[in-house]
Amino acid sequence: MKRRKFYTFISLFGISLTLTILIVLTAFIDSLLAPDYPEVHRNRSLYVQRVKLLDQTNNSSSINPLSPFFIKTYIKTLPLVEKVSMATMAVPMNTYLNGQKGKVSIKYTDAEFWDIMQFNFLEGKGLTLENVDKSDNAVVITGDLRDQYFGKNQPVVGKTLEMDDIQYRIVGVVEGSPITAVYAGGDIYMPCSLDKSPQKTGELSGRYHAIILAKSTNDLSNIQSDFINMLHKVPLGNDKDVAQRKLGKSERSGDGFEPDTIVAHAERYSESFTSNMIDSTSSDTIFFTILSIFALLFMLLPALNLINVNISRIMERASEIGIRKAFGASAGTLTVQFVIENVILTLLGGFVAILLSTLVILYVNAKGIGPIKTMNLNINWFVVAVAMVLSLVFGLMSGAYPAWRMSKLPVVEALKN
Amino acid sequence: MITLKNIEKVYRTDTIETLALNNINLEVSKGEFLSIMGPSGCGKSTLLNIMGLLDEPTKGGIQIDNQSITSFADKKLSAFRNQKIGFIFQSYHLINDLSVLDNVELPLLYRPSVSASERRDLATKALEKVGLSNRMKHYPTQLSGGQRQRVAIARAIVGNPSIILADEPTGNLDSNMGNEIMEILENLNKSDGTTIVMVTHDENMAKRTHRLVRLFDGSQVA
Ligand SMILES: Nc1ncnc2c1ncn2[C@@H]1O[C@H](COP(=O)(O)OP(=O)(O)OP(=O)(O)O)[C@@H](O)[C@H]1O
Ligand SMILES: [Mg+2]
Repeated sequence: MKRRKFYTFISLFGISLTLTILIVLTAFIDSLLAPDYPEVHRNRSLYVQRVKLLDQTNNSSSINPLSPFFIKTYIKTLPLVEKVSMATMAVPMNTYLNGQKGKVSIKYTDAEFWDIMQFNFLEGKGLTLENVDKSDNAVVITGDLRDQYFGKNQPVVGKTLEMDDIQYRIVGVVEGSPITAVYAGGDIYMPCSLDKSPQKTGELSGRYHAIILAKSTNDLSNIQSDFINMLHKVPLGNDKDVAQRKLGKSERSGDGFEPDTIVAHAERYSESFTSNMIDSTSSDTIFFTILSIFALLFMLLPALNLINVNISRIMERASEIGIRKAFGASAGTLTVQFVIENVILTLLGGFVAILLSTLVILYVNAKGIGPIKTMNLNINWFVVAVAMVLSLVFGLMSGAYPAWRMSKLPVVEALKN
Repeated sequence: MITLKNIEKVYRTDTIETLALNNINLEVSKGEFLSIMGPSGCGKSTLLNIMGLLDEPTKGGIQIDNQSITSFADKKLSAFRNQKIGFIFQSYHLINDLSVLDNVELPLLYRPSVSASERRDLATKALEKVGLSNRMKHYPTQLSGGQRQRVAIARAIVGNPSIILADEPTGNLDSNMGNEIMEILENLNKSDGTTIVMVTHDENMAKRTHRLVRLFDGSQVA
């Protein structure tokens, strides 16, 4: 009696745990991939993050973000696009802000960036074409930065922000974006025309990425093929001085880098997300691999445990099966009995899991985790449904199958156990 | 009622073969009260299990109510067991997770025609017959050996089967209780015409039955 309650509890716990992990995990992945503040147009956007140049005779290559020239000349002119924005990734750096030493992330953007991203403005507005064209010392800052340097909820538009002895006029204050919105995040946004990093004319490599906004999702694949065709027309002769690395083991020193091949992709958000993981530095890749393996193990252990417990639960009841058969239960009736028990158990487990994950998600959304202050996790009901169906199926297989096998045994055999 | 023809049962393990029953021919007529005796290990339980369709013989045929059982599919066999046979096991075989009352109701659970309240009534009556109506809410682990035996008897008689197969039903009881159980069985045999086959070690009990079959080393000796 006690023993069976124990097994049932373990089994229920196993189902709940497995499903909870699955639900929370997918909520995380979903929140990374789903259109989310402020990148609400992820579904009809393409992302060009970097360009790879290859010199096959010299056996060397370079991978870099794009130059403004590349984006303006070749990407903004693609047919079918509604808008193309360019921006740098926010780079954290040490600066003197209003006389205080601090670390802030600075992002250079064009005006289109403010149309594609749908920021919530606490005050003012985004950078305009005029700001960019005239190289205004204008900045947009986040509410957090404002609270830190000007006082909580102080009106600051029109005020100046002094950064490394240069005066900037604040034109807008936005609600900060989650750390997961990698293309939007930053503390201070400046016009790209203020970016003083050296750039040769006609060079393709730079420090910008482009976000292509299509008129509709249907245009995305056409734009992708237009993009590939466009690459054939791009002259490659101006990138002789970019940092390159050797391909393969050949130790030939690169005297002149003469790129003969260009590789670049306009990717959908999910693709850009995964290619980021794959292309990142090797230590990052190892980190992600380890993380994935851990996640898998974490999922696998309760699953295996569940099967095991289910089988033990049935074995434990071998003699019960024998007794019931001796008094007239057929193999079919018994199997149905176990199937119903398992279904109820799984549904109960699913219910507990939904409850638990809701708690976890509410907690994470309220408190954030680690450096991530604002999270917006949601339960993916499709995943819940699939997970429930899956655990029903394998709950049935691991429960009903041994029950069916047992009930096929001659009664005396079952009674012996 | 029960006809066994050339029954042979061989237990095979990897290393040894045990001939548990050797060419048994037995005819039990309707309404007969038969007892089986023999030394431990001679095959009494094996024979009873085969009669009760709980085990399959290695060779030979069984007929119950003039129907050859060998051809029955699981579903038909189950229904047949449920309707015709009440089994009393040597080691009780109660379900420990169920209360005494639920244990006794068990055979009726597999009769769709019996309602829940009828089940309750019939089980209560069966428990009254074996003198256990004051233990209905108990669980088997809370009962003595003799009490468990009586629950097992109540379960066997609750469905009013035409055959009762009893494997040492009085083995764990004192002579008073044993007598009472024997009276219950005799009563069922007389008033309801229930066919009873009983394994026993007790010559006195055996004498009270219509016929005695003796087994020795798997063979019928008398
Ligand atoms: N599953 C089995 N595997 C192998 N041998 C078995 C098995 N079941 C019974 N036997 C053997 O068959 C023979 C008959 O066993 P059975 O249980 O029928 O004896 P019994 O007459 O009921 O004895 P007891 O009076 O002790 O209950 C015994 O020798 C036993 O060892
Ligand atoms: Mg025996």
